[in-house]
Amino acid sequence: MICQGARVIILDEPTAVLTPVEVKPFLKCLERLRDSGHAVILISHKLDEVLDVCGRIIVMRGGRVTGEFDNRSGNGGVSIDTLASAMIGEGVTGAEAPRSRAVKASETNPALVIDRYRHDGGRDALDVSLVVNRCEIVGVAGVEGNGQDALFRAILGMVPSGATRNHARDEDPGRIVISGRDVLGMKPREIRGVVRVGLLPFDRRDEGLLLDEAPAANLMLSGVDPGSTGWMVDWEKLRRRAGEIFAKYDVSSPGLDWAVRFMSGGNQQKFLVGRELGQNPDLVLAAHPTRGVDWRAARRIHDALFAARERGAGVLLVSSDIDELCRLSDRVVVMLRGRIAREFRPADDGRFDLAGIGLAMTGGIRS
Amino acid sequence: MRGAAILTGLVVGLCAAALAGENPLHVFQVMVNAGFGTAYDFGMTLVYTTPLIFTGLSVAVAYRAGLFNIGAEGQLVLGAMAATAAALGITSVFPEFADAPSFGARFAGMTVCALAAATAGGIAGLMVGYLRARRGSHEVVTSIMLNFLVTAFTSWVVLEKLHSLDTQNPETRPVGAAFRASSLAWFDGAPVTVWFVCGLIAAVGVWFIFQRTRPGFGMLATGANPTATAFAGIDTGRQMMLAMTIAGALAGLGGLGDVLGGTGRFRIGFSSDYGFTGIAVALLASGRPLALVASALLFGALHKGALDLDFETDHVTRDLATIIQGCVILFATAKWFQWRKRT
Repeated sequence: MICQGARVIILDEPTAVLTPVEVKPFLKCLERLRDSGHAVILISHKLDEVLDVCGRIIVMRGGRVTGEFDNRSGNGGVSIDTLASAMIGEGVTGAEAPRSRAVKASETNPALVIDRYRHDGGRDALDVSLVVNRCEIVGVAGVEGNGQDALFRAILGMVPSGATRNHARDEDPGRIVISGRDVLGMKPREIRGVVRVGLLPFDRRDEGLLLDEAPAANLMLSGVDPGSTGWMVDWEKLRRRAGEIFAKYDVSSPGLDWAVRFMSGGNQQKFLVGRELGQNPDLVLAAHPTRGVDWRAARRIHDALFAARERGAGVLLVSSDIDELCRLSDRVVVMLRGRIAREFRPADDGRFDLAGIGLAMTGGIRS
Repeated sequence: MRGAAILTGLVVGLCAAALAGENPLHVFQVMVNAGFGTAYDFGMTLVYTTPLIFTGLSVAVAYRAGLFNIGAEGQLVLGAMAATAAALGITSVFPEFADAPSFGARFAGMTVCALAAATAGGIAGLMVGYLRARRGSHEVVTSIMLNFLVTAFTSWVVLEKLHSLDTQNPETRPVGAAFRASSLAWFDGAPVTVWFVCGLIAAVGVWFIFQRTRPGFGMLATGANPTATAFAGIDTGRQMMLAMTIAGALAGLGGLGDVLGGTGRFRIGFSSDYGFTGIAVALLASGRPLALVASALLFGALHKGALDLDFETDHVTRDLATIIQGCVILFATAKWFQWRKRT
C-alpha cells in the first residue's frame, strides 16, 4: 500500500497478530510514517500502544464517539484512567437493573473449578484459576483477545494441538473439574458424555448453528442433550421440541421447515439459548449472549440466564458489554493476557467498581 | 432444474454434432436407439449404469461429509481385485466348492466376494480419511495418489500372481461358477446381474443413513459446518473417516458387476473411468442418493450410445458423448451448492 503511494493508512488491530517483541519496532515504524507526512489511523484495544504513539485519541463506544483527547507531548498526555472511563461509560451503574438475588450461590460442589490450568500456545496461552459455584453467574470482563475463547475451548476439551503437546512436557497442567468430574485430558465428545455443558459460543453462526438446516436438525448439535439416542433420529420429536423452544423463547421465524439462515440474528440467538439452557445444564458457557440482539430479545436471554442460575447451574459469562456483565454477574473477573488479573465483588449496594474493572482490563495499575 | 440442465446439455452437444456436419436428429436417434432401442440395448445400458451407481454414491457420501472422493476409481479397482482374489483363493483351497451350482453355495460365494470388495475399498477410503482427519493431508491429493498405487498393485497381482494360464491377455484366471452372478432373464442375454439390484438397494441404504440415522447426521453436520459440529462435542475427524470408509466400500462394490458378472475375471483396465464418471453422476444428482440412480442411468445410456456413434455416423465419434456429458455437468453444477432442505 505504501509503495503505491498511500498517504492515509488505516490499521485495524495491527498488533493482534504480532508477538510482544515485534510490537515495539512496529510502533516505531508507524512513527516514522507519521514523521514522513503520512496520516495514520490506528484502531486498537490496547491502550498502552495507543498512548505510546498516537497524537490524538478518539474513544468510541456503541457506534458513538464518547471522548476525544489530545495526547501530544506538549500537553502532558492523557492518563490511562481517563481513557478507561471513557471506554466503559460513566452513566452505567450496576444496581439499576434487576439483578436476581433470590438464590444464593451455593459453595458446595461447584459447577466449575479450574485450578492452575495452564498451556502455552502464543496468543491462546492460558494460566487460569477460577471457580464458578452452582447458582452463580461469574462475569469475565476483558478486552477481546485476552484468552476468553481459549478458556472456553479449554473447558470444552478443544485445546489446540500445540497446547496438548505442551501438556506432555509440563509436569502439572492443573485441573479442570466440571460438576465434580475431572475433565482435563478428555476429548470434547467424552466431556459432553459425562457432564451437561450449555454453550452460547462466541460466533453463533459459525460455532453454533448449521445455517442451511432446519431448527430440528440444529437441535441435534446441542451439547446438553442431542435429543435422540441410539442409532436413529426421531425427526418428529425434534421438530416438536423446536416448536416448543420457539413458543417458550418467543422465537419468530418463517417456519419450522425453514433453514435457520432465514431467521434474524436475535431469533437465532434465542433459539440457541432455548437449545442450550432449556435442558438443565450443570454449567453454562455464554459468550456475548446479547451481541447484535435487540433489547427485547436481550431481556429474554437475560431472563433465561437467570433462570438457569436459579435452577442450579453455574454460568460463566463473557461479554464486552460491561453494563450487561455488572447487571447479571454475582462476581466479575478480569482476564488479561490469558490470566485472571483481578476479581471484583459487588459493594453492599450491589454496584461494581466500574473504574477498577476498566483499569484492570487495560492492564493499568491504580496508583 | 435438472431436467433443464440435461436438455440444454443435450442441445448444445447436438449442435456440436451439427457443426461437424452430422444431422443432429439422426445422431440423437442413434443414441436413443443404442441406449434404449431393444431389451438387449437397455440391458447393456443397465450394465454400464451399475458401477456408476456405486461410484456415484461413493462420491456423494464423501461430499455430504465435506470431502471430495476423487479416489473412487482406485477403490473400485481394488475392490474388484479383492473379490477376484477371494474367489480364486477359495477355489484353490476348496476346488469342489467353486463349481457348486446350488443356490446356497452361490449366495455364500458372492457374499464373500462382496465383503472382500467392500472391505478392500473401505480400507482404501479409510486410509484417505485418516490422513485427512488426523494428519491434515488433503483427500484429493492422497486419493489421486492412491489411484496410481492401486493401478500398479493390481497390475502386479494380475501379471505375477493370478495370471490366466490359457491366454496372453492381461487378466486373471476366471472365477468359479459359485461366484458368478447369472444374467437376469429380461434383457436378451445382456449381462445385467443381481449387482444392479444391489446398486439400487445401496442407493436406498445411503438415503436412509443420511435421512434417519445419527451417524448420517454427524457426517452431514461435519460437511455443513465442521466448526459448529466440533463445538457440539462431535469428533469431526471420526465422521470424516466414517464417511470415507463408507465411500470406499461403496466404490469397492462397483466393480463386481464386471468381474463377477460380465467377464468373470479381473482384466487390467476393465474400468472405463467409472470412478471419475461417478463424480459427474453425483454432481448431476446434487449428491441425493435416489436422484443419483436416474443420473447414473443417464450416464450409462450416454456411455452405451457413444459406442454406437462410431458405427452409425460418418463425422462424429464416441467423443460426442463426452461433449454432451460435459455440457450437462456444466449446466447442472450452477446449482451445486443448493442442497434440499430437510423437511
